[in-house]
Amino acid sequence: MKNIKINKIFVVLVITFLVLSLLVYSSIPGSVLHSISSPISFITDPIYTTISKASNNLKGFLQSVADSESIRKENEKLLEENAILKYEIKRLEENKIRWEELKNALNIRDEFSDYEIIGASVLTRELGEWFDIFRVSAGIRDDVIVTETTSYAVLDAQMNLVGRVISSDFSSSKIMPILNEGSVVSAKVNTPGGITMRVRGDIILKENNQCVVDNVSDFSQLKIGDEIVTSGLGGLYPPGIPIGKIIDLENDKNIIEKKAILEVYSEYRLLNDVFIMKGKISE
Amino acid sequence: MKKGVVRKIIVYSIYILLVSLATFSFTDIINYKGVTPEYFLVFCILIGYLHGPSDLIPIAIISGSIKDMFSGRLLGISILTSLYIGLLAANLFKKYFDKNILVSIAQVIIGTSIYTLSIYFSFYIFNNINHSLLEYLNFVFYQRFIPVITLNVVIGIILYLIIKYISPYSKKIDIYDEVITTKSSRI
Repeated sequence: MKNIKINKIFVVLVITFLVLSLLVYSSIPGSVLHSISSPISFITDPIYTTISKASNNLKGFLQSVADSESIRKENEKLLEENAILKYEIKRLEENKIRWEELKNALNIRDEFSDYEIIGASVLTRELGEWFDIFRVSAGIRDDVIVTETTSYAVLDAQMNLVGRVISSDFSSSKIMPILNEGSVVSAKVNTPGGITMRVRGDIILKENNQCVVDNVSDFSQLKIGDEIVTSGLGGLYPPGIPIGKIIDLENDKNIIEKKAILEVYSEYRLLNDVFIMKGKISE
Repeated sequence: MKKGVVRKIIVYSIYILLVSLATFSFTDIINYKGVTPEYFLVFCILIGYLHGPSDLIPIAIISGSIKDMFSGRLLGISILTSLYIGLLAANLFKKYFDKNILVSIAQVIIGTSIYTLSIYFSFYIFNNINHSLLEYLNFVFYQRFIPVITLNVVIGIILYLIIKYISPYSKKIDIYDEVITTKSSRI
């Protein structure tokens, strides 16, 4: 009886040692260990996606039955708006042609024309602290390869910053959102010569889709409503990607390090699709 | 005996598949302000309590690996937490209360408390928290601790009933185990 107990303790200790080694090795960015999920995710992702879609469809159906009258009214309103928008698009098409001509003539570049944008859908969402990563359906097969010196910015459909890729396997990648308390972004106010700052995730503020802004180069210049974009100084995120806007300033004279609160544009918990910016190598 | 092993493997595979589906596909359905039940943790606690360390160890490794691979920043955190909390459940009260639903719920509460508090304690130590300790504790207790315990207890009751009535062991082996347990506790 005592021997069995000692053997079990020995087994648990060996497993603990092996798992701790795994933990240390997996903390290296671009570690091969992250790829071991490739065959499993290749099989399981379609199953999870199918079941998620089915449950979303069922939820949607039940919701539509409950809201049928308001949906009908909203549909009528949207049809009217659609007709107006179609007219606007036709009108703007001509402007677009003129813009392209001007652009070529003056050699103006689109903001992110150096970057290849890869679309991906969200596969699994965050599960709480320490498991606050979400996975998307673009991986090594799409050339999304993370190493110690290379990572990629992730944007939403409105080209607002969502986060960055931290690891990838054959068919999927893990994204760390900027709201995550481990995330730090070098940013600036979106004006020429705008003041620089650091945007950090916060465990309490992230519930309200907010981040902390600190290390501000000139706090007196910062105002509520200022739009904050990436500065490109950190080397990880390209410059000019919208992050959010300032909603509060901690202006207490007694506090040495002044902070502000930023509301992030992107609602990553509601996202179904994201875009990975590839192309330029960071650092 | 081989039939018993095959049954065990099939039933545990089905459990793991169901728990994985619940964890990754239904996060939008059962959640309270972003807090979701810890399906894998509750599963490991109940397996540890109901079927002992021998079943728990491989289950904790497999389920922990799945959770880390799909949602974790690092590989291994879930494996270690599931393993140790499951082992605690396997040894706490087991001698006096075997396969009791109320004790299972108590195990889930204790295991979830240890898990939740250690996560937020480690966050406080290793991250630069911009809030006072009181504000942080208030947030952790009301926004995390209470909701996750409540959700885990609900899931625990459902999983207990599933594991008890769709057991990986046939009734004959269960009775055999009870006899062995009774004899060994007298030694």
